[in-house]
Amino acid sequence: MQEYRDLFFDEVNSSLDALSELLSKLRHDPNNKNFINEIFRIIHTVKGMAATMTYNSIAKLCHKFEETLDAYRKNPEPVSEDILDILQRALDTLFNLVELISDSAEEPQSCYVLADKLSKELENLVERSSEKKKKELLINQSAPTKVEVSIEFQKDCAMPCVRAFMATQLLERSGELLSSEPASSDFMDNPDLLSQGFKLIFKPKESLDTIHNKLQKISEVKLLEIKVLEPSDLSAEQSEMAEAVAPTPQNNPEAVKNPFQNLSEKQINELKAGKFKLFRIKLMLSDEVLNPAEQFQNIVKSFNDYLGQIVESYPSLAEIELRVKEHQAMHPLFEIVDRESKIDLHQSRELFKLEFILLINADPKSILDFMQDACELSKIQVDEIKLPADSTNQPTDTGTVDSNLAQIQSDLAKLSHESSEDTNHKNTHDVKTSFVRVNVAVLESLMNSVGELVINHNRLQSALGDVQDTETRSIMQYLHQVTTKIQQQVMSARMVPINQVFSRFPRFIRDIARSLGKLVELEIIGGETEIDRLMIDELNEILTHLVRNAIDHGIETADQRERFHKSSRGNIKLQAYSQGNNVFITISDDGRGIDTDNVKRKAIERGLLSLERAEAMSKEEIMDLIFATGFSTAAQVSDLSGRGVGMDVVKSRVSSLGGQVSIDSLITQGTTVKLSIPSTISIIQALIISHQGGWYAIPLSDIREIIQIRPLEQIRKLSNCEVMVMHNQTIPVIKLEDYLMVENVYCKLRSEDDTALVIMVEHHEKPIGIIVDSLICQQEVVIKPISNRANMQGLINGATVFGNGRVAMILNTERIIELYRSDKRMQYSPWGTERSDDDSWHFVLGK
Amino acid sequence: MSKDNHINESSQQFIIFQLANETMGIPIGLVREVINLKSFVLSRIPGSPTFCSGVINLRGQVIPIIDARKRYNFGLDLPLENDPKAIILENNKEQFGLMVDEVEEVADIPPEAIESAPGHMSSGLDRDRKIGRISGKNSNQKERFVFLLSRESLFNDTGATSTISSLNIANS
Repeated sequence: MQEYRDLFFDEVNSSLDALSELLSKLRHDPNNKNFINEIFRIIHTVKGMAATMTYNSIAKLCHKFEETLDAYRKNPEPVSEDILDILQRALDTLFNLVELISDSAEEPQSCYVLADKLSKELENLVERSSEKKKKELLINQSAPTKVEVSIEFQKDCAMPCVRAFMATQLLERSGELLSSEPASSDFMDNPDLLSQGFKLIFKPKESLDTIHNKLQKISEVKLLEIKVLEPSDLSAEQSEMAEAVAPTPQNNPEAVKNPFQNLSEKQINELKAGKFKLFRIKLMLSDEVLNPAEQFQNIVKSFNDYLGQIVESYPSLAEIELRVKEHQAMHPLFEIVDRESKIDLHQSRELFKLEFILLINADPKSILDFMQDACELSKIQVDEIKLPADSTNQPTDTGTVDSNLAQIQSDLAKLSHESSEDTNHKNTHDVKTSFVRVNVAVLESLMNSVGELVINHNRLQSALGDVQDTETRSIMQYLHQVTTKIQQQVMSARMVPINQVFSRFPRFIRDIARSLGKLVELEIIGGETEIDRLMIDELNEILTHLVRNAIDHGIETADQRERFHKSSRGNIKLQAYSQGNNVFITISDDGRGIDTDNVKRKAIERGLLSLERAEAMSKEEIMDLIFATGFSTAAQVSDLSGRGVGMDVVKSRVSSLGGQVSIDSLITQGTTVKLSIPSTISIIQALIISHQGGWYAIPLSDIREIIQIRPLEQIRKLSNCEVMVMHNQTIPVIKLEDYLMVENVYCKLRSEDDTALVIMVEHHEKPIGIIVDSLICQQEVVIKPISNRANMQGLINGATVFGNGRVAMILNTERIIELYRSDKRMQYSPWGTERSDDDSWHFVLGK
Repeated sequence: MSKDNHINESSQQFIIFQLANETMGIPIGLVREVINLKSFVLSRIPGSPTFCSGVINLRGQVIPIIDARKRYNFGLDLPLENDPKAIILENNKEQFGLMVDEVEEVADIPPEAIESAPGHMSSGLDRDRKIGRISGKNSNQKERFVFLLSRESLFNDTGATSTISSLNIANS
């Protein structure tokens, strides 16, 4: 059992994280049964796992948790605040228990004390609500006392005993079954007994028409009759309705034979034109799904959203709807117990199966992907149904079709269905086995190996050089394809949704807000944005910092907010989206915002800038001061409103991920911090340049433009800065050699005719140029980290190795520009008096 | 001379090398391999400390090379060996190469042959420097003294790396 320990904690922790997120969602939308069902499902899984591991304290608490929540699964009432609070506390306790157990080898006694305490609280709640329930039940007990149900099956009915059993089960659920004729034990062994019909006597707890509806669900029934044996206060009208003869259900369990029959002419034409395709989809939901019918309904609904059309389905759409209603009426726990007992297996399997014909413009793979995302499946099979070859004979109106023709068509359809079944084997997935937990270390080493593969592929390519042999070339080409594919796949395996970070915040925010006595609401957008898992931890710390700042310094207290005519609840928005190779994350609040004057004053006090310079600074530049080292401490000590606590740390961390951070704020309106980080940190597209004998790589995502210039002609000196004019704009340029701090062995004098390249990068949305000697190529590079020991100033983001064995440094342009700016700031500048009117000059001057 | 014979293991293996006319040793457990630097291209790292000579590409891995003389401020006036070697060290996944003049041998040094160096012998190396005694190169030569570098002095020594960490703090 011990070997499962790690796995258990891993699973349970992620489950609890998910629960915590769901609970917060539920808080916002206490009526949402989906959330409740999901929570129920997760807690049920946790309970199961804990029981297997014999961690009984967890299992026990989970059980109480389940019971508490259970009342709300069928209850239309919203979950009340105090229930949510107690569930939250139970969840916290679960977290504690897991921690306690993971810290010690055994389950410490203290666990039981904790679990018992919470269990008691939960029990009290359950008792209260169950009393309520009983009362409700009494009110509903106007149903008749004894009822006889007779069922006659069709002659060719397959497995009548099973259907009879289904009926028995149904009635047992809806009331108290008194007797059946023949008895269930007899007909299971001898189905022939059922040929004369099947009679049941029972005491109903539900109204007769619900029971009738339920029984109608059983297919291949010739006759269904419900008779009241002991007259009660049941109205005559109702009993009359109940006596209606059940129509023979159309839906055959083998289901949906001729898919073309139900198509309109237009649809068939579209099908012929290849605009749409017809699929037969058979699926079986995972048995963890609590409400299969509802899932089906969702599936059907979502296909309609995707412009698909469900031509036919078994069970039919109407029946699904019925099942949803029925499910809501049923006691859920009851059902789980039933499902686990083997006798009910057959029926429950039926409940979890769905087969339908879908008209949609998509390929089987995307349908498969979609379905796997949409619901928890245990099995799915997607087959395309081809039009019969003789499609010109397709009926124009299904009603007038010659029966022979229909027969032929249905045979054809069956044939094509069967053949596609054969060829489409790979579309039959067992979803459960398609996910494997992988140790992060394995993924890491796989990634490293792929890096090596890429490097060696490049090496081989340059070693082969000019080999013109077509054979070699085609092999290389293929090798390139495969390498790229492997690389992409490994990369995608490393990507995880950013929700892994975001999901921790709802709770975090509530806790902080509560401790500060503020009301804060969190909004999360774009949690599905994917990001390299290596960045998750780092990102978590950065975001935690920013979010804490937002609540602590941004959001005002409720009365303060009301004074500003804002809603008393503060709002914090976490948003993520990806663009190109970058992921953007914004953290916005609608708090008091940052007072730029205050920032300026503080910066002057701290000696970070002179009064004159402060006057000339743009708003962005002032905002930038917040990131300056030394500013933060000032903010912490004084009562400067706004943020700034450790923003320099945030900045350096973001930049260590190769990203950038900017801040924007409107006083009294709020603050937005925007992070831009590369979505992956191991392989990037980069421009390889050569400068004074060394090779360097500049991430392509940093570069805006590359221009060839004649440095002696075009670069001019403006005070202590080199500048050039481009697109009618004066742009400062950085001489790379000043910041590489490499001994200048290869230094050469530039002559009038020499050309150089200016790499335009962006810094706070303003262009700035970096002069380099020449361009080598653009290439995908594998980033190799370099220990801090050797990279003290952070001027590089790592190194990369080329095919020829050469090592190039990956430049951190952001850091270089910063260094440049602080250098220029330190030097004496006479510009205070000779300010130009041109706006762009300020950029040069201010820095 | 204070005797300090209570070193945990009975006999330790050291890799013995020459650096600016001194004989030194590094515990073998820290050494991954020894390479001849002549066959590698050194690339400088922008903004790196002067004792960092650059990085090399060792079979696809990028490894910084530390110039032991500059780092320990030791024998800078002596001429450089024209065929330098690098001892690639590894500790907790951190790797770097220590550039030395010549690598000689692997020697077993029993604990009784290891002692603390006399206090006045300071050269920017270990605070609590250990000296070992090994037999001469030839059987007729007499015992030689070896300065032993410890894991701490190599990976978190108080000299050079303290400047690194203070700089990092300033940067962050």
